[in-house]
Amino acid sequence: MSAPSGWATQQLAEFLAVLTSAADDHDAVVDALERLAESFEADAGAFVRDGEVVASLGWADGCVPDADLFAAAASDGAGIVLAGMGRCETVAIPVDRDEGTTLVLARAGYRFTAEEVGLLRGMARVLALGLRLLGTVAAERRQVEANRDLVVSLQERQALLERLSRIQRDISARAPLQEVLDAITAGAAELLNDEVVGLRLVDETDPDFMFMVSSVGVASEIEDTYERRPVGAGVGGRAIVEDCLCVVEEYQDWDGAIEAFADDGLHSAMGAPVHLGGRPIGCLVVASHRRGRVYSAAEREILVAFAEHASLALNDARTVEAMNKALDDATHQAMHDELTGLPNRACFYDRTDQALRQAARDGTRTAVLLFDLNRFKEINDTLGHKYGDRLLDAIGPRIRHGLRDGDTLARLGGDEFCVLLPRIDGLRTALQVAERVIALLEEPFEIDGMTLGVDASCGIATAPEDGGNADLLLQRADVAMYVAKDTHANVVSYDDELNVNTPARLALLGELRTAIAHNQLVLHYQPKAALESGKIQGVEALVRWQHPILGLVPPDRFIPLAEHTGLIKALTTWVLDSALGQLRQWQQQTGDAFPTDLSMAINLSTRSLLDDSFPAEVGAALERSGVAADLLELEITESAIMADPVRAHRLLTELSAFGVKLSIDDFGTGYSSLAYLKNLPVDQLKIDRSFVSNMRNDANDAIIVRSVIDLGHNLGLQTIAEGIEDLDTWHQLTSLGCDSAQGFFLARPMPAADFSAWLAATACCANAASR
Amino acid sequence: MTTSRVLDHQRATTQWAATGGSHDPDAGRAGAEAAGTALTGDDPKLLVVFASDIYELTRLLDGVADVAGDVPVIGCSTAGEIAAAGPGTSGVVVMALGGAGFSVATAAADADAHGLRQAGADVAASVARLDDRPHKVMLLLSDGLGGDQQEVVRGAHRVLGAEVPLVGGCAGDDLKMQHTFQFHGRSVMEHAVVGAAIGSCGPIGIGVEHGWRAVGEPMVVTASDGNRVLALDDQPALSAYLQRLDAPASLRGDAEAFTRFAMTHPLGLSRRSGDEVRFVAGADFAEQSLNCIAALPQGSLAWIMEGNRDSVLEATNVACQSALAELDGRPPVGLLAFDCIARKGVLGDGIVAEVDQISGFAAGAPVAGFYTYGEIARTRGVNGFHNQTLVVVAFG
Repeated sequence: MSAPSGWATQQLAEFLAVLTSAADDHDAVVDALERLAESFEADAGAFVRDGEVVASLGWADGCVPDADLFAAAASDGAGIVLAGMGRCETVAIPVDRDEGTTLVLARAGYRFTAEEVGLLRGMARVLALGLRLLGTVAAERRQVEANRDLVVSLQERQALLERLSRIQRDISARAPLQEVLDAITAGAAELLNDEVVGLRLVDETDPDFMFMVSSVGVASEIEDTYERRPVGAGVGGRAIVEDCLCVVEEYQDWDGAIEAFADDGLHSAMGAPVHLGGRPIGCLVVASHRRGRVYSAAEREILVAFAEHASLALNDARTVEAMNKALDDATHQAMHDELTGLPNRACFYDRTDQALRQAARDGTRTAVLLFDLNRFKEINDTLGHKYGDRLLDAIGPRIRHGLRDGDTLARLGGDEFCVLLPRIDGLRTALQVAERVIALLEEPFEIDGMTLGVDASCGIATAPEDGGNADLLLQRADVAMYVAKDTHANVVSYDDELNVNTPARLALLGELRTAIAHNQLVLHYQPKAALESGKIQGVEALVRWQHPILGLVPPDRFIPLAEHTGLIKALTTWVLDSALGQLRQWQQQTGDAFPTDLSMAINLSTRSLLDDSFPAEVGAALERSGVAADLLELEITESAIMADPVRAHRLLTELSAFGVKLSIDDFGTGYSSLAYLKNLPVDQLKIDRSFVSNMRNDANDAIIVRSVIDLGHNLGLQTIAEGIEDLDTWHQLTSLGCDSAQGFFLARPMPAADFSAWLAATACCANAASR
Repeated sequence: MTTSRVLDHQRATTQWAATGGSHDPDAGRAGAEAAGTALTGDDPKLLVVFASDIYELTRLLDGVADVAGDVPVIGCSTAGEIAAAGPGTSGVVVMALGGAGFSVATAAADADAHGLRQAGADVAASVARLDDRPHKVMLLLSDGLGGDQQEVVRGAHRVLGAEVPLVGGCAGDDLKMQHTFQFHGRSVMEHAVVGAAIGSCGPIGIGVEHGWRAVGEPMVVTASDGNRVLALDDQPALSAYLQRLDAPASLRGDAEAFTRFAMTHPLGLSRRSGDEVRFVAGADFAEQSLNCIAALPQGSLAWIMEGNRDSVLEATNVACQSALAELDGRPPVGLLAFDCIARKGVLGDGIVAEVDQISGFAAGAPVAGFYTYGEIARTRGVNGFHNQTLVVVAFG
């Protein structure tokens, strides 16, 4: 069971909302526990502090298993038994190390994942800060309550209470700090009826100075003087330094007076300290020009009460700021891998889902590439985790180097890295990126002077073809990656078939790799002849795999596997070398009796047409065999060409430039555009057997065959019909003007050794036409 | 009149369930008839009454009590009743549980007095009065229009812990969305939680499923207060919701039309193991807010949910199958169904098919239930309040 996208950030946001609305410490703890259990679908949970269960959930009253909870708090993963549910997984998260508070959550059936534990740690930090805020606010409130009792005048008291409760409401409602501070100075001015009120705070960046944050009645001509003063100057400065109320009623005679204010005729002033985290960091000052102005005890307490509210507002704002930062940190932590700093699984899911939504809007494709290091475990085991971790840390930048700016690289855990490629045009781009990244990873890593070599396997899944959500894509990339690993292929793209009978297929793939490496595959050859003369023109090489246990494995079973595992490249090279080698051997052995223009046809895979290096490989194989290029015929299916027509055109043009002949296989079964077809450098159309074998009985098929022949001729191409099984069809095709034939009627595919004998016996197959 | 009563003879001596129903226009006679039909076995332990508020409910309960004597009674008003014979409206359905295998204790609490959480806790405390039974469930009926009913679940869970599952639903008022009523004995209450702690010798299975899925981009709940959603994506919630759904302008002042529309366009929240659905019950047109039947916390992401006849009927299958799967292969003696009224909105005529489906799973055992304004099912974890969901309880 994995969490859906965006879940982590959402849980944090909701959690913060719950915490900030709690009335007191105990409510916050209880609400937090409930919220945590709901978020993580835990069956039970508790806060444990100093050998005491502070709050619990999931046990009936009086049934809380204190001892078990202490054990679970002391040891992460200790587990706990819940009535009716059996043993549950537990997780222990420190909330406040100073206070020794630990959160324990228990869940039946599902382990807590690394992401969940990361998120829980973040939430625990937010909770700790929240509890501290509540503690501070409670202390400030108690102070306010105590002082309120000292205000003697009932009238003043009522006005004060109204003012203060309004300020408290503003603080609770998280009104902007400046508004709250302005309400405090305005309230003090109104209640104390003095002309000048100012609230100053110590400058954090220059603690010897304080600056004005809110004021009432400060004359503009002396505003500059007020704006910034050294800490210690005037009643406010004194209140900060001495951390107590400072009252001066003969200002001009006072030794601490600020000259400008004395000159301005200030008569009386008092300042009360404002605190943040218990330290004086500012002052609230009232001052009057009225001669004889003295401050009563009640007025002094009113000023202190307002100053305390300023403290309350500042503490609240500061703590909310800290909580928001913790929230940001926790969100970051919940979305990133601790070791490498790369996005983690949760983040990867999030971004993949975003990319998929975007792709659905703009009609692009998305690919997920899953890389797994092949020898990482050995490095970890032999050199230790330190080297393993350093290596993992170095992998990220290396992979990043092969990606575009907008691609996402994530570490999913262990030695698994995942890449999200948004907005790509198709699988080919994904394959290129995968191969580029693998090449980058193959470069040795220098870790502490030690050279470490790793290689990686990559599984690819693309959307929308392989899945429409992150979960499915990752799961399918994982399937492909394991196939890559088990078959020692670098890159495997997902195919539905990979998901079927996986163990058996994996075994088959491993054996196929061995079979190619140890030359256990064989080629059979099926002759082709000119329809009119019956002259043998060439053979088509068909690969066969005689499995020691399974017997003859049909090509349609192992070739698709090879295509999806990168084995196709080795297989194609093997077929090219074997077929051309055989042709060369026949040419040399049979001497004059052998038709010197006998051609060799080979089938190409779609993957070969996506491989830029393929023409060069064909050239190299021709060179190795010494066979003339024009005796090699490459058969390509329509669908292989249409998979990437632009690229196919380029590769076929290159191949054609060697002199290699090109034939379109299974013609008529695909959806090739004629306009496109006529621009391809092909030599021959091969009419699919499905039309040929039935043309005697089905008029429609006969019409199709005729049309293809006419079309081919009009385009200047040779036509060859495959699947001819009887003489009538042979004659029919001849009369339609088809050029060549292939099929059981002429000969079944046969081993190389039999072909020489067959060729001799048929004496150039002149009898074929007359049979 | 529709009645059904099937006793599993092999277990007749240990525990049984039976149902009765009536559409008699006279409230007293309807109550007496439905209860009388259900009370056919020996040693009855509990009557659960689901009745339309078209009736004068005090008289209806008097009618029930006159027949039931000292058998405990709980129940609530509905937005339609469910019986094996099919769905109905403007009627009454009663399920009786009885036999030595069952032990029952009932309670009621006023949510206005001490809040929903305390009410949930007070009612759940009745579990302590049960005789020793291997299987227990706490059946809760509450007022979905009266605040976040997850609070009731939280209160009950605090008292009972993880061991006793919670099931039930919120009373209805035939979609008037004004007042719902809870029944305890002869009392008709408002803003109350009533409950029956049920102990059983046979297993009790619970199935929960909704059949909705999130579509499109989520919206952020930028301001909310409990069940009231004030702003979505920083816009007044009502406008944002209607705009997203491209709803007709006529809904912007017509409370009834809005409720009917919203019934099939719930909101969803993303939760760890999937989506949680929130029934949009109404709107405050002046305040431009949405009233839901459960809380949408500020800061959460909300999706528009989509469901159709097939997905809702498939959910019915899943809920019934999961409930029955817990009976260790025994046939059920009875099924209780708490089915969100909004599902009825999606199904339309298909509700007949749905109830047929439930009856099919019951395989002859009696079925009773009602169309709810919110469903309760807590089998694991803490979350137990649902919307647009079907909860099926199978007594084995």
